[in-house]
Amino acid sequence: MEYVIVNFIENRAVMANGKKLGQTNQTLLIEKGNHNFSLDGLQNYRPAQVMAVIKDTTTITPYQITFNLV
Amino acid sequence: MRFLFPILLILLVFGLFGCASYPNNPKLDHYDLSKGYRYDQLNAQKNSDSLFVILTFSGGGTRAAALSYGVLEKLRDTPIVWEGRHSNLLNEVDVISSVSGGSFTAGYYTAFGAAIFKDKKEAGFLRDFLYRDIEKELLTQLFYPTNWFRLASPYYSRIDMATDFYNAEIFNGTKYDDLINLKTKPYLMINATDMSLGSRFTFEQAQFDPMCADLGGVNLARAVAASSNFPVAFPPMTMNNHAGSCGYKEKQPGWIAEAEKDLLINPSRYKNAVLFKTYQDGKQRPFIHLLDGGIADNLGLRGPLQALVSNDTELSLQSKMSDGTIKKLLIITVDAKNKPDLNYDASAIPADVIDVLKIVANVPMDNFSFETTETLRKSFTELEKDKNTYLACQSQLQLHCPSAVLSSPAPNIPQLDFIYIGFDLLSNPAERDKFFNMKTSFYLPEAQINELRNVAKRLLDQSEAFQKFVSVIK
Repeated sequence: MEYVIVNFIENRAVMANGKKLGQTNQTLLIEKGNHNFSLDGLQNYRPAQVMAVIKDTTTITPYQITFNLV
Repeated sequence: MRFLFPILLILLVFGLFGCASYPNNPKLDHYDLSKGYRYDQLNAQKNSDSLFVILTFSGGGTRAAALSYGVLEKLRDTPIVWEGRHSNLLNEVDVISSVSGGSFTAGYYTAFGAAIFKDKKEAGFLRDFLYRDIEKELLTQLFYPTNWFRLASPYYSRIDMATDFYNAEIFNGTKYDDLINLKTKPYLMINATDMSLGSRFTFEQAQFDPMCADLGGVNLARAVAASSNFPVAFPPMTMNNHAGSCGYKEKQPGWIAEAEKDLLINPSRYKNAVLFKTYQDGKQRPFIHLLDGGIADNLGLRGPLQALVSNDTELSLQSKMSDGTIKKLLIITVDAKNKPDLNYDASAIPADVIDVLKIVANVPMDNFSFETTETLRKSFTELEKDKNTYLACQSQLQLHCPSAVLSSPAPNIPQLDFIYIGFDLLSNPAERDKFFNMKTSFYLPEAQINELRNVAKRLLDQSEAFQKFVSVIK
């Protein structure tokens, strides 16, 4: 099991590969491998999507992704 | 001239019935995630997602059906209080994943709910399936002249004949559309095996989407028959693959393209993507052939396991855990496996072909089932360990550096409980052997069925994990 946090100024649904994974700013469970992250709702953030290889994470050191409000 | 008429009549009957065919599973007009038999479409519930209960029912003919039936009875008789509401544990079951004999119990309960508990004198599951000599009646079907003509068709086989029998005699023509309209849990995952791939084929819309096929129009009896389609006894069941006609390829789930990059980093995810994509190829695979679900997974546990470790599956426990929806997750696996026959090793003369076929069909299945339960236990252990590591770090930090906080919030990992119900848990060797030696068929004597129902209740009563789980939600 791997862990990821998607940082964003608002509380939004996090989409992994087009499917809801959880909420922003929470430590989320995810399967090891390649994933494409984005946010649900308004497209008022950058980058539009983040492709990442998630591996070797722990609950203490989750993979960090940040989207910025524009 | 007077002989001509009967001959013409016979030819006509042969001609008509020789065209008999398996039912064509209907085409899906448009790929649409808001329609079809999907977990998220079941919203007419009293039962919450916060207490998430999954049952898995193994194969093993009537032995498995009776054991899983006993578990349903025990859960019905287990009162709980959850979120201030009085109920019973059966009402909190969210998902049933089943194989072969277990699929009869799972399918009937999902379609007809508490009616499964009707007395065996009334029309219902007990009279129409569990206490009935299904095996004999299926054999009798072979002697009906109408079936001779139908079976003469290359497109209609014994498994289609069995499907028609189950449909008329047990499931009263129930289709998946009826389950969609019910909108009630449990969500039913009936598992068969894709003959060419040797992989799990689950009767849910997400599996039918790449085939552009509409599960709604499929009879529940067909899913149950595919799931219990024991090789050699029955030929493979044929499903039509309409891939390419519903816009699925253009809008396919995003995980597939990502998982295709995972050959080295996560081979099992990569393999899932590769296998899943084969259903999109309507030219190479215009037909899908299905065999007994036990070949790929005789516990029905692989689907829930994948939902636990991956967000790729349509029903994902990961996302429901991450967002804090699930507070307690309970998986009960009901395993009606029997014992390996060691009598072959008492003689220097090797087993005959039929026995070898039986061994080849059963022994690897049991070994794989053991691996599956071990994988689930390891996944639960890993999650618990991750949760505890976080808590330990937090407590050390508070102890040595009270003003500091961990940079990431704690993951939402719910209480996880796994309960295995199988004959090997019986402490009395003679009793254990008695259950292990009950035959695998669609008929068992009434006394054996009663014993199976009772032992299921007793095994749950004796399960420390079950008692501990129930004690906190009483």
